Amino acid sequence: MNRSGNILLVEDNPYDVELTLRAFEQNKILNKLQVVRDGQEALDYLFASGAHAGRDPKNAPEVVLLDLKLPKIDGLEVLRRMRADERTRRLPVVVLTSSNEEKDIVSSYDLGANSFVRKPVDFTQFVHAVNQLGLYWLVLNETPPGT
Amino acid sequence: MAMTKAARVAGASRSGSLQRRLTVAFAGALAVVIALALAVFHTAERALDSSRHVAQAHEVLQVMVGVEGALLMAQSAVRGFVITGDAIYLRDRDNAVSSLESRVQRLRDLTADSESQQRRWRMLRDRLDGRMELLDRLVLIRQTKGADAAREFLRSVYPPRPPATTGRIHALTGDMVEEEERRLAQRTQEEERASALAVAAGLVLAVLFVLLFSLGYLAIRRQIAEAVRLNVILARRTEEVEAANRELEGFSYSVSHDLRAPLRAIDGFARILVEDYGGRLDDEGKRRLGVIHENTRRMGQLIDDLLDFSRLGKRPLACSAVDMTALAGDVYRELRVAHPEGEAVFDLAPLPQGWGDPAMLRQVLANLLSNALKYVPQGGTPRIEVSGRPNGAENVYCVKDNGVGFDMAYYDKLFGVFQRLHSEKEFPGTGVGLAIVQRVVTRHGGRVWAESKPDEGSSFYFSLPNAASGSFAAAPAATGGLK
Repeated sequence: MNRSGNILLVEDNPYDVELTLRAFEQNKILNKLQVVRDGQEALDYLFASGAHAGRDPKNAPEVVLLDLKLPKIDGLEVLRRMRADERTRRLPVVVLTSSNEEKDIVSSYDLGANSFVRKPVDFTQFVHAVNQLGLYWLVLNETPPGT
Repeated sequence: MAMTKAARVAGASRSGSLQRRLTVAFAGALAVVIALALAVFHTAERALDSSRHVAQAHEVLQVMVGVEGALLMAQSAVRGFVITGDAIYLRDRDNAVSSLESRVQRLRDLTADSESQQRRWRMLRDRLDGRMELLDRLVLIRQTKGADAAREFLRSVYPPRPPATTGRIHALTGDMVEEEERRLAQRTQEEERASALAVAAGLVLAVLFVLLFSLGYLAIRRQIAEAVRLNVILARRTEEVEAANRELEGFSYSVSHDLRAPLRAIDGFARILVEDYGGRLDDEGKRRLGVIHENTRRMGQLIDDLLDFSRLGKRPLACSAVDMTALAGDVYRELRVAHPEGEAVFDLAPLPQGWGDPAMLRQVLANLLSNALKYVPQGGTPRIEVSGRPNGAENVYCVKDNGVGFDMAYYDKLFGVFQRLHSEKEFPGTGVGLAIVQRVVTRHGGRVWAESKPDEGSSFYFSLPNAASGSFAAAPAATGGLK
């Protein structure tokens, strides 16, 4: 499976999407940011089905930034289905959400999330967090081979 | 949701008086049953006694007949000897006499309970003795002087008319028989009465027993039905409370997630405005965007504090022994690392060991110590003293500062959520710190209080029950949540 260098952002709030894009821009992260708006679309994109049927499923994203509260299929369910499928079993998933409920954190890690980041309200802090994420997952982190 | 305290107390006393009444009723019933059982036993005893008397009377009659028979036999044996001189008749006489004697003795025993019968018995015995003596003399005359002399003696003692002594003996035995028959009749009547009484008492006892048994059964069945009914209500209430808790959880989840997203957008876009259009804004325009930023930050902090406070009530306590001295030192060092600016004096005395949830007690100390560091007059040096002492079943801890203090007139607001005694401008904060302190200490079964004067510093106290005191009673987790 090839690394596309893409980042998959699963986020339903358009303003959060816009802010995330801007934070990437400010942090000079040039990787393509693929945005999907709900859990179903995220799964369609990952498994090249539905609206994304034409996509080459081998072209996997580098990292998935996953919100938990999503329309149709929620983030934890997306995570569960990703981990149950051989194609996305080892794909790095960063849960990026507003909540810091202990329950959400525990469930995310139980289902195989690689990281859990709470989106700060303060935009400066948000930009900083995205920068750290990009640096870690796109530069420092070594992905498992053969996925 | 839950029953009010008053209703619970009323319910408890109602069930208490019901139990008391039930106990009294059963004790009374038991006493009646025991009394009746004793009465039945007594009457049955009497009936048995009467029937023993009846049997005795029958025996008296029988023995009486035997006495007369033995007397006749003795007399006829002696008559035979007088006529024939054959010694065989003397043996018959001896048998008859001994049989007579044993019967007379038996008669005395049987009539021992009646004075009049005893008197008659003594007369009977005397007459019989007289008769025996006469017979002995007759035998002696026949042996020594021959048959004619004996006949002569007999004729002199017994004139041709019926012998008076025999008649008298007969009359006596007749009297005794008559008396005994009268007593027999009386005893038979008594026996019947006693038996009837025993049967009646037994019947009453049986009826009463059945009645009590039925009543007890009904009472128990009613109690069980009541218990089942209460259980159903309890289950329903529990379900309602659980549903309410789930709702509250969903609510705080929404607060945490949904309230923060718009805030992030407000802050983010205000910032973008400054970054992209800053050149076209004058200073007042930039200041106003700064106000937006400051207030979103503050709202974010409020939301986080509110959630922290609400979670405090929900999380179960994980208690263990806590080295309070080490904990206070730790917390202070962390606070100084986060806010190293300026000088500060920290005086930590050895504290009694605490018993509680270490993470929560850390929050208590963190809030008290950070307040002590925060509320210092402009340019002043904070001086903090931490001390503690055992006090009966609890340990009391004190955090004393030399800060701005507060007016005791506003004391009742001190530990309220989002209550502040100072302006945000003077000392920033959301007013949740002392509310957290109070909630944590209360959940540990302790108390919180404070003493202060404006500009003269404050002393904050909290107590924790000893592990050994046994009065450690944490409030149930579900009572937490928002005020």
